[in-house]
Amino acid sequence: MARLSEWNAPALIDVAEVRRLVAEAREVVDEPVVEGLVHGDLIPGNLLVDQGRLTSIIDWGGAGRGDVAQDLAPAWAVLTAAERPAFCEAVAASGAAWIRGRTFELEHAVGGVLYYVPKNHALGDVMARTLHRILTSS
Amino acid sequence: MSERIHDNEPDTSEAVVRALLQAELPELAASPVEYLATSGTDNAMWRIHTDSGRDLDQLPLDALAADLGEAVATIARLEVDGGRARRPGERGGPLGPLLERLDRWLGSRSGTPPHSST
Repeated sequence: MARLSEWNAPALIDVAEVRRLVAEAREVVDEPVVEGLVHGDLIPGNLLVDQGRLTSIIDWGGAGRGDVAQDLAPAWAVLTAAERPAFCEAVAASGAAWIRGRTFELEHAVGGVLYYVPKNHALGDVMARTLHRILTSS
Repeated sequence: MSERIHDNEPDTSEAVVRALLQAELPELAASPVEYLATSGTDNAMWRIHTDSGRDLDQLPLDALAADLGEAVATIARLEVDGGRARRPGERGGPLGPLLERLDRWLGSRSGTPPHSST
């Protein structure tokens, strides 16, 4: 993965690939959305880990009721393709929910890259990594 | 410390950290503290050097993947009566309006992506 300094604004995102994934998400058949508690920002900075195990989830200020697919974010924001199947099995989300969750996180990552990378903020690296993982996951 | 990215950003300097430690945890007030370049946008994290820690990216993620899946499944099963709604794309700070413009851009078939400062 490129370091922040190697990114330049015109090449921040692969527009064609982003559009392809968003178009693919539109093809997914609608199904009733499962609602429940949503944290909404399950990125590395909000997860406390000790000895490789999850111990706490912090930053609940934006939590609320909504489409629980929003919390599938760690599949791409934290994990790589190698660990993603274990996460996928544990959450047992439907295929449509998985695509919705991926699309939510794709838009979050694109926005995050556009916003944080030019500011050279640490979150730019997190978002760029997330975007890369989503674009190479299918 | 990283540069300030929001207007009205609260003071999270070492002086504030020292004052908080003195008031809340005086036994740690003399410990070395270190600013961590985390991804927080409305918070700051300082490490108090009483032990060692490692970055999430350097850890093996296999056990964490299962932990995260279990945690996410547990959160999703919690019933919420009333309260606020959490919608996709809802973000605090200046990222919110950018994501709205991004959504419109993705809804169109062409054009260049929105810029963060417009």
